Amino acid sequence: MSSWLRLCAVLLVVCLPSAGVASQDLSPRISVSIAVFDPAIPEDPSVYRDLEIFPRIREVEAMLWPFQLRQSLIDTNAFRMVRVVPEPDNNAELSVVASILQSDGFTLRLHVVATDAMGGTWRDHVYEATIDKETRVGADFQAVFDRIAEDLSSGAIRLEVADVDKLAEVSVLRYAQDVAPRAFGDFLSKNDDGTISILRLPARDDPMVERARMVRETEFVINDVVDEGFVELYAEISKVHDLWREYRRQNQIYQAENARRAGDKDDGYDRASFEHLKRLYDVYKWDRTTVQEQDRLAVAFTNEVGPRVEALEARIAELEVWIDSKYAEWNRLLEALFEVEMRPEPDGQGAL
Amino acid sequence: MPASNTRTTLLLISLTFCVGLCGCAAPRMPPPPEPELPPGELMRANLAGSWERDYARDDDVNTTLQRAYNLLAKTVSDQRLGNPSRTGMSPRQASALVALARLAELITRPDVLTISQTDYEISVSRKDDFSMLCQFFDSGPKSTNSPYGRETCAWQGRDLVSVLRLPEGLKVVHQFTLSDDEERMRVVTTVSSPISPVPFTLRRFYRKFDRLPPEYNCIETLSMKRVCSTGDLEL
Repeated sequence: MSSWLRLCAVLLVVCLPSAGVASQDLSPRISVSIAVFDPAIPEDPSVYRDLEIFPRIREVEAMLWPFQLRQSLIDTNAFRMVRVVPEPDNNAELSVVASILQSDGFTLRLHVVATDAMGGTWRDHVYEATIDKETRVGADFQAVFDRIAEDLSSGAIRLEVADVDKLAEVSVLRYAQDVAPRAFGDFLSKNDDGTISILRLPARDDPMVERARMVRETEFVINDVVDEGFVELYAEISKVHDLWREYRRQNQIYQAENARRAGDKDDGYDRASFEHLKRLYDVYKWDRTTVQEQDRLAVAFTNEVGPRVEALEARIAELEVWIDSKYAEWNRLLEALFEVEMRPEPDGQGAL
Repeated sequence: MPASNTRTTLLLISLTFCVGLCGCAAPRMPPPPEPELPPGELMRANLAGSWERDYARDDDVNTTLQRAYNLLAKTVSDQRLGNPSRTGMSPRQASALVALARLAELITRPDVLTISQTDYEISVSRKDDFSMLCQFFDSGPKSTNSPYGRETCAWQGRDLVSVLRLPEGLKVVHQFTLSDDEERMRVVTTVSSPISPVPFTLRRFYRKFDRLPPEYNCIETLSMKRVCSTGDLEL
């Protein structure tokens, strides 16, 4: 009985206003889920220095960049809800995942894959932007996110109303299939190429679909809480991150200056002189000092944003534990309901 | 100029003068053999801590230079025996040895070394110089590469050996040896180059010391620079 009460409580939650970010346009639009980016940090720590990867900072960037993309997507006005979610949402009407291939202050390279609920690939592309070292044009890599948003929105606005409805329906059915596989296992099938075929559709107003939809809405509410946490984090640390990128750019300029100085082969001294040997040593020293200064700044960045990021991560972890436990409960309840509803009437005369 | 530096300069001048009197050419010898660097294992000794120079035990630069000069003279003399057309060391060779000595003295000048050590890295911070970096991974030691040099480390027993290879064959090798009680450390620095038939080696000795606990808790941040507090730090 208590389970029923808890389910009712959960269902009440869906009546609360959602904190997700929606387009103002009321015409049919699909929703997008952007997963926190994959920081793509190599497993082998021995390559970090060579690739100039600062793992903790890359992890923070993987949380920050999706918000720039979300804002770009909202600005196109081509989508309904645009959410940032902690993990890729394969059941989303349109799911966007991205890996950070390079992020060094001057260049941002992202591998972006956008897939709809039918398994259709909208985009599988590497986007790149480089800041002009002299003029610092495009200093915040906005161009990358605008191009992604442009590509995705051009696909979205070509959708007919029927396409939008179909994606929404399949999205719910895929979710329902996950949460109640016995009830929805035979509605959809996955083809060899990863696309989804609809085998049959539920009856209009099928109560099981409605329940799955409501459970999903509940999960969205939780996701929106997580999303709000990301928004707060973005507001708090994006300025520090800008500062880090600015330092990193400065550092690369120093390195270029070191290279220029090292390139002056003729220092005017005899090769056997102390001055010449000292110069060989100093050139290496300047280069290492520049690199080590960058290491020091990376530590300063982590010192400053670390507590905020860790607090958010702890909050996400708590919510994920809650969702996982509830998910198991919803699964059990929906399957039990399905069994009750599918049970043949004992006397074959229908329920009273 | 400190008295020791003055003495060094005087000795260097006299050595150069002496070699000038010899005024003879010497064969170029191959650089000294590299220390054999076996494949590194992860951290064999814990060098972490603050180390201050024990000046009383340090090598005297002048004495060491005199010894190196004698070695150079002997080396050249030995070669002359094998090749009668060659006679004595050249002023250039002596000048090169002096250059190596001055570089070694410069590199080993810091009076405090601050060594930090993690599971993978050993970093040796020195005033007015870059921090030496040694990285050891399961796959073995990892070199620090730069367009201007290459730093590689390895363990020889419990000794940490760092080899810095610079252009034109210039090489700086540091060997760190801990005492059994891990309270003292010897750092042997060898600077070599193809321009000199003999390398120059200096030994420096250090004692571990505990830094006083800071009066304030401080951390570095990006936007606020250094932030300090007498209590717990909360950003």
